[in-house]
Amino acid sequence: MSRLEIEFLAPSATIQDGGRIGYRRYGVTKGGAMDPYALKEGQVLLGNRASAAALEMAFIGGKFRSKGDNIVALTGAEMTLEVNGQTAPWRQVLALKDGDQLSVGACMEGCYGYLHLSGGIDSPIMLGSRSAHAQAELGWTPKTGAMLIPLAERQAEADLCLPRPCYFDDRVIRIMAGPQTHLFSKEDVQSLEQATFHLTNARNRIGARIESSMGAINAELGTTIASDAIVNGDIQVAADGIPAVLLADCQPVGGYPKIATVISADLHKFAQLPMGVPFTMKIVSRRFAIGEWERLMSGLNKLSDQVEPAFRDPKEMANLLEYSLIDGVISGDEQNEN
Amino acid sequence: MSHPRIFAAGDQALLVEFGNTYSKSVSNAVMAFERMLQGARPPLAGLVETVPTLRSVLIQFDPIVMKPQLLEDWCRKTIESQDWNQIPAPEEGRQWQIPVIYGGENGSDLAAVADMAGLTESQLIESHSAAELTVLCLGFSPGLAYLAELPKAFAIPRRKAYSKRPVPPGSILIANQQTVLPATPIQTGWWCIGMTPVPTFMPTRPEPFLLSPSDTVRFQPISKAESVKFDSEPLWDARQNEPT
Repeated sequence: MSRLEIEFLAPSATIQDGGRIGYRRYGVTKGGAMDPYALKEGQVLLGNRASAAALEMAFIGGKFRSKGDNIVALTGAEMTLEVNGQTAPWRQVLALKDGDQLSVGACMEGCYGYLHLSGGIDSPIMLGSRSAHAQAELGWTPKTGAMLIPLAERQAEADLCLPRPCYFDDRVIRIMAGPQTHLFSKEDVQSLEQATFHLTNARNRIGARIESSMGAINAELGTTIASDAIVNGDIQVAADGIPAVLLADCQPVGGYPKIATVISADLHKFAQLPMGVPFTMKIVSRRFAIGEWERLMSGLNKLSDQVEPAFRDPKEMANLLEYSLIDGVISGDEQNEN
Repeated sequence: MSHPRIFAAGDQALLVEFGNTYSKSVSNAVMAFERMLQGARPPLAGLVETVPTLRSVLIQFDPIVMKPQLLEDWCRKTIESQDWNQIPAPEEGRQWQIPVIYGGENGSDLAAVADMAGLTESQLIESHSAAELTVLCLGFSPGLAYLAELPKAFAIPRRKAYSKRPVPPGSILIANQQTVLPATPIQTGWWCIGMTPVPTFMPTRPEPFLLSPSDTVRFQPISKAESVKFDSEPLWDARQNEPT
């Protein structure tokens, strides 16, 4: 039976799928992959269902040993990747043989990488989702020594790959006004577009503080609001005046005022922003935001058209001799045989 | 600006706000409006989920299925059809009787709260357990219930700072004439006067959450010795009190 044994795994890794729908009224966060685009890429590469779960690795990966043959793919933030000590490609279907070691190291771009198994990773479905949410003891957070079990033994076609998406280089986050924007001064709202921001170490699946040159935001009017609903992407301003963007695991209701909201189409882009890298924000209309969402969704729906066989440069193929480079040669005598 | 008001909350949700703060009439309006949304005929296509809070209803929708303008029109029409200050309290919720061990190690603020309320400890317990409370909403953390409304004696402000250690699930917390009942460990500025052995969130059960908005709850004082039976068959025992 195919499985991947975890020889080492960073503690921040969790199992994630598309998240939970319908439980925010009970105080349970939506959760799900921080980068749903990357989750979809893996599903498309392996031919998995849209409900398939992957291992989300934050900033650093782990070491895995293939027990039996496994078909895997890695998407999202590109991390150093080796199979048996040889560099292996990201966003490509990899065929692991029994005993092969898969090593996923530190991020070279972005923050969240995803390891996908054929059929998705088997783990308990709780409240309609496999997503792990530690605060509520929901889902599964695998540890060193555990086994990742694929839900399908079916073989995906090895060497299929996807091109690198462009959002890793995009440093403009689009935002829109929300129910509490009017509680802030015009100057503070305007300065969101003028300042240059960056993420700090104060970030996780719940949210990320964003620091800038603009100084603290005056939230005096807002600090007294009664608790209200939160949506993913809300930029809340706590008492110290430093804004924080609320992300996949944020609580559904909270008491801090929100100056603006990151548009849905930019949430995965924001989640992948590395620490310290400058970015700017741009205020857009809801109509524009929905247009961008429709564009992103139609791109995701067409992702399977972008899957293509990987071109492999023989010079970079360490195991050249293991490849059959002369398949399909004919002897020239066939015509005579008939 | 007057209420109710409709806001865009990001590009995939509307927020219908019934007040700036909690009040009984605001909360009644929230629950009634959410019920109308869920019960709309024909059903609202593209409605993903609704989240009632103490003063508003969040409506999450799929913008590819439903144009936000259509949803806004529906909300506006519904808002105009009612006097939202005169909405009666919801009647359809389930009724629960929930056992509580007041005071002791898991209710260490009982004496302090009784003092602030100007009552003896036993008067406070009597008053707290006599009140029929309504589940206003769940939120903040999984399964955490906001219950109201307690008598005026419980109009006690929250602590200035959060507790150093998280309070355990089942803690009976008090402030602002409300009780909060968390289902997971939380850090809190609310006062802790007791503890229920009944778990209100069990993720592996078919119905993971004991309480829903608009359910009513009455707390029943029990001794620590009596609580043992709830440890063995907790949810089942609590369900005995559900009217059928």
